[in-house]
Amino acid sequence: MTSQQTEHRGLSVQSISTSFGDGQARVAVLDDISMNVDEGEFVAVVGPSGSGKSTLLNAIAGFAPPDSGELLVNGQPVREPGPSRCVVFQEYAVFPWLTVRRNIDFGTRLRSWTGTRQQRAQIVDRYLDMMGLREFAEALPKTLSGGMRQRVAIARAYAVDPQILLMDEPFAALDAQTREYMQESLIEINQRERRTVMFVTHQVEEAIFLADRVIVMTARPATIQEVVPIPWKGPERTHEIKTDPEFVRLRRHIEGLLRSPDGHGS
Amino acid sequence: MTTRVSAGTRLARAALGTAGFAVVVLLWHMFAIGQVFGQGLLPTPAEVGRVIVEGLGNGLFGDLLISFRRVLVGVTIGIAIATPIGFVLGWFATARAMFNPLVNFLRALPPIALVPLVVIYFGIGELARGIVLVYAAFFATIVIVYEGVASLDEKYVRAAQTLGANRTEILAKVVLPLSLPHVMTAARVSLGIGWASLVAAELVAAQRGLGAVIQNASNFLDIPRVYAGIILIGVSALVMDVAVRMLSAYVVRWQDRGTR
Repeated sequence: MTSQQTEHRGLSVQSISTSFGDGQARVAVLDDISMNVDEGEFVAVVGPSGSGKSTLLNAIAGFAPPDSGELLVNGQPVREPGPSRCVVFQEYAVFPWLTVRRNIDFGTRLRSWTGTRQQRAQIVDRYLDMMGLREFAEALPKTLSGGMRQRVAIARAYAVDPQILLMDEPFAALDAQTREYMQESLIEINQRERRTVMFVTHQVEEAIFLADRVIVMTARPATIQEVVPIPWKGPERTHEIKTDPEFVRLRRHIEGLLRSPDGHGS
Repeated sequence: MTTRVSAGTRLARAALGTAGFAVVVLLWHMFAIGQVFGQGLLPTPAEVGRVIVEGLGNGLFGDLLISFRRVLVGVTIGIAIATPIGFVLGWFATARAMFNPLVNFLRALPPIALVPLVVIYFGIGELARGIVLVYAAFFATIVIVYEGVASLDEKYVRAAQTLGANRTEILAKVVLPLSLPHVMTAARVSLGIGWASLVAAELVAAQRGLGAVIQNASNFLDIPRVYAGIILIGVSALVMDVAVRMLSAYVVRWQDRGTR
């Protein structure tokens, strides 16, 4: 870790540690984690289940502040949840009482949003189209499939224009086919509108397919085991790369790291 | 139960519900004919039916309307006062910790136990009867609403926070719509309790109303009329319950019951 930059664009995680419980029952979950996610970068975080990936994401989101360390977004310290770090959750957290359209413009109807009414309408229309939700604009979520609901959640997150998008295993509850389709959609939308993304997943293939860098965590207490750069850029990311020998090699490597007995880094 | 049931299923369910009543009426008829409870103490269903039909044209319908209005007004006021308080108790953990035991204490008191005190403080007018009903609806509603609010799915609150909602916005735009189903449940339960407390309320020197009808008939040992009053209370409660259920199905039509 380099010394603290004055104005790093993107997310800066500086030696944060988190634990649950008190006294004897105290369990360390994150142990001195440091990393940067640069502006416009797509970073995936993988780790053994229960390793604290979601704890890390919740800390960055502001839901559960760490015991120690600093979290900065564009140089600003993170104190509480807010639209600068919008989260897409694993469980479908689309508001069931609102139509698709009203879900997407939920954030732009809040006092924290600074745009005009006209901009709001444009934003909603843009993401309705981009996520293929146009014909479902007036539908209630209960009539939509899981994949469609997650599209709404992603569109809703993009609509508030976050400085970093946090995705907490957003496709984990979907069937394999829908998941692949969603991954391709996410790549597509992210090529059109480059965002800073931190994507937590337990699926190594998904991580390599989507990310510029894969951060591999150890088992609890989690540290960063290795940071794996992914060579494919933008439009090269198509379905075919999943069978590319380099892709397979990276996948084996990361899966090996996750399985290794010295996954604790000691 | 699912929301999307075919017409056939619905018809079959209605038929079964009717059959349930038929069985009871049949048993009742047999007990009455057999004079199981002694001579003349149990009227036949047909006798009670005659009392109802004749009575409705002759004042009983007025009693029915009066009771209907009492329950509706009393319960509506009770719900209207209890809902915002239930929100506060559900939303603020400190308020809940402070008032939860008190609410449970007051809720456990049967409305009928209050009647003597209500008479002392509020006299024997309509106000006194109303207060008994308001009381009953108030505590039923407050508990359902605050427990509903306290157990709301955290993920929606988090989603709103992460989209930029402040505390007031979360309350108005997330907690409020999410607790609507609980308010509707509270309305159903309160109306049920309201009808159940009606006799207690009309013990307070009521001249009219179904509770008063039962009281008066009982004084004259007019057993068929007692039954008629009881049955009309039951029917009224049933009608109101169906109405609230229909309203509820409309108000919370976004609810996805298939996944629970």
